Amino acid sequence: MPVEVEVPPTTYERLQQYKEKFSDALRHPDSPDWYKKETHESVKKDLLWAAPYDARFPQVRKQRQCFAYYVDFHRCNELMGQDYKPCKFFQNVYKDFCPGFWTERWDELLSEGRFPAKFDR
Amino acid sequence: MNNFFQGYNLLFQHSLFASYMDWFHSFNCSLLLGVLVFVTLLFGYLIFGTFYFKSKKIEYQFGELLCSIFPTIILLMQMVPSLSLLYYYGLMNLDSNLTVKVTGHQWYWSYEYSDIPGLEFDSYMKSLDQLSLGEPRLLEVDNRCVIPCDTNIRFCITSADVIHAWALNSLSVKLDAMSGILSTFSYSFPMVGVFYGQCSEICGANHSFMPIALEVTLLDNFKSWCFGTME
Repeated sequence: MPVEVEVPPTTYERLQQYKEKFSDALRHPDSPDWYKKETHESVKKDLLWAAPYDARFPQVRKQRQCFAYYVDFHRCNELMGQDYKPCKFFQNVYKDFCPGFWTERWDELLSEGRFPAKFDR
Repeated sequence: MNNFFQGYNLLFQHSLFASYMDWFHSFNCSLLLGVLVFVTLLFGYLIFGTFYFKSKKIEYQFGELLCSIFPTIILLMQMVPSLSLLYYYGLMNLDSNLTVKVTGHQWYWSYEYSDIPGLEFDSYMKSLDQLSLGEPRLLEVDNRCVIPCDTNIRFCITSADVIHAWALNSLSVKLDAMSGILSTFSYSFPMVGVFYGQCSEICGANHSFMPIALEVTLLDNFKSWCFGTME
């Protein structure tokens, strides 16, 4: 088994963690943190995540990347098992890139056994 | 500022990149004016000049050479700022911090934010009876796209039916939304405010009535908006 890979949490997961830790209240209007660049930079670093740059897909059009990560996620589940944690990275990336109605359509095809990709290799 | 280019100028620009684009546009317009004046004067000289036989000369190799040299010089003058703009835009695209997915429909826009459930909404134009005082007609929408400022936003633009174009005039942004194709671009919005755009690819009867309203706000306000909207 390869070394344990830490999968970075997505924006939604970070927002959930932030809400549990700090609550969802807005900062006090008189707080001096509104004028501190370090505070804004740290919040941005802690809170926001986007799929990293993939050199296999440098083009402006990313539908191939969307599809490739979707297939890689299911292939990872098939080959490495459902409880293999690093598979979640592929899921994070395709959920970041793919429009919702695309993945809904693909999930439907997958449940019907008509998805046009092989996951066993 | 009233000048010859008043009718040709871009709108007031709201980012540094868009200001460079504005300068490049004005620069090209001035080149166009120069070429127009030069060619007009040359025609006037050939038509009204007293040297009648010179205008009837059949072979004038030096003139042919000039017709090659001058356009080349003009293109080289345009090349330097054009490539500089491309390079500067490439620097803006190195990394992204947030992904916004834009889907064009007939006749509205849909927005999704990364993988946040609940942050999926449609953006329809407000009709006249829904407008409040000060809201622009044919541009205001019922659900604005809210994004944080000074953050690299990656927009993934696609379409669910016909071809649309997601365009923001004052930020020099325009990208086609095509069915089955996911076009992306990255942008960093330095100014807090509300910016409007319109669909810029003919998409049917209500092509003029699917505007884009982008609300750029502070990251903390964006965070609170997410908390209030997501599931």
